[in-house]
Amino acid sequence: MKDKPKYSDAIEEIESIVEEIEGETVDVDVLTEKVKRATYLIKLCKRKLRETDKEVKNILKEFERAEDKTTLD
Amino acid sequence: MEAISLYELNLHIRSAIDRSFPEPQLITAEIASCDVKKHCYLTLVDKEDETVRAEIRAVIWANRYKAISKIFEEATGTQISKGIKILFEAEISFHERYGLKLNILNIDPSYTIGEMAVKRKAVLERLSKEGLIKKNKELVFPLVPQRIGIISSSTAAGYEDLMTHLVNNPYGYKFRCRVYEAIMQGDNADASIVNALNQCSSDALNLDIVVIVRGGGGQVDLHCFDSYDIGKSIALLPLPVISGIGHQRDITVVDEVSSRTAKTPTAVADMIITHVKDFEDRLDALNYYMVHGTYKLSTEMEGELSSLVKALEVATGNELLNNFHSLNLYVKGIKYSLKLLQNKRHQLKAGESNIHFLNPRNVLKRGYSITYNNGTAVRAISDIKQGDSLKTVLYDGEVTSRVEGKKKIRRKA
Repeated sequence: MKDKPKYSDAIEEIESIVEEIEGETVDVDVLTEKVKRATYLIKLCKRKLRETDKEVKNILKEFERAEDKTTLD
Repeated sequence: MEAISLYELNLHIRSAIDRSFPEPQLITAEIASCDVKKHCYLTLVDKEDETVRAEIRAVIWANRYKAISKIFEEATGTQISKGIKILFEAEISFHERYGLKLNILNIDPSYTIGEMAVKRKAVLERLSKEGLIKKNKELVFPLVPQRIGIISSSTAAGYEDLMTHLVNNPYGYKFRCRVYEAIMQGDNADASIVNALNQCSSDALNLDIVVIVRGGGGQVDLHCFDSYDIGKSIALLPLPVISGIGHQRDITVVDEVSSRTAKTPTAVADMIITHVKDFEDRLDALNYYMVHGTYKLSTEMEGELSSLVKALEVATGNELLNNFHSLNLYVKGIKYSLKLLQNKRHQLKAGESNIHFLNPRNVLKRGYSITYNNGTAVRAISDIKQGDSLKTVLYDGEVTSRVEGKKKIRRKA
């Protein structure tokens, strides 16, 4: 994850995920991964709207730790 | 020839002028300088191609100035100031000691409005010809204009209005504002605003948009916002500009060139906040569709999952996952259940096909047959002996036959 994901990049990714889910073409494994990814991006964007730069950086670190753990599964 | 005194000369000039201009005269001229003390002292010029071909001093006495300037400002949106063209009614007065001076009795604002419009039109045409007029409008307006460069005078009421609205927005959005100080009226405004725009340009990587807000309050000097230089600087800025210079009349060059326009600094703040809110609404909608889509996908597999999806909905919908780890658990739960269901489904599918194969009719169809000996199906070689009469059932008929010989085959276990 980049240090400062752009809102436009994020929403583009979320939109493509939702499109796939709505198109019902996703495999179960991919589906859960994608829901997780989209939820993460939505939450990140929402927090970025309300936090200062420093706070956002801390959240990103927090997320990265959580992501590292989950990708080990 | 008899010499006369200077005083006598000036008396002659005075009477000659009085005879030539017994009534007040309508005159057009450009203001070259304007100095308001108690009275308003002006230098008026007439230019031909930027060269002054006539010049004269003029005065608006204090008792008239208040009314004249008020009417003028209200009508034109600009002050009686340098660079403006006026049509006025004046007495041509010559004083023996103080010389020639125009005593302005009235100014017709509609002439100035027309002149400003002509000048504005010329500036717009030039910007248009140079391909600059739409440049700022063509920039992609950022999804979330969160880092804002503000060109204003930081002591001005308009700046206060903008900041108060941004900071106190009802959604709790954070905006990072940086002020680029500029003089927003008078002779130096032009260069000062251009300078501020250039600074914004250097900081472009750290800004999303630039906002130009005027002082506000009673000031009505819009003259500088029709400047070609400011218009060009906005056009060449790599960031979208919102103009909020607050006026109700014709739009200015700055308004024409900027990406977006709002009537007041408060309206600028609202425009920005609404834009961010639109983005968040889009996120919420996507989240809804995702939850809904996931729900639909999973209910198609089995209703048992719906509670998990509801849990996901609660987690993502309202608080948007207060706890990322708990979401992980939900997701894992769903993942596991879905996997299980998929396996079950596969088993079921496999089961279905077994049943299909096991239907005797289908077995016979594929070339197998059943042999009966005295009404009992023959399963082993020991079920029959030589000479027995056997009945063999095929898919579409029966065969009767007699056993002529038999042989046991030993199979490996």
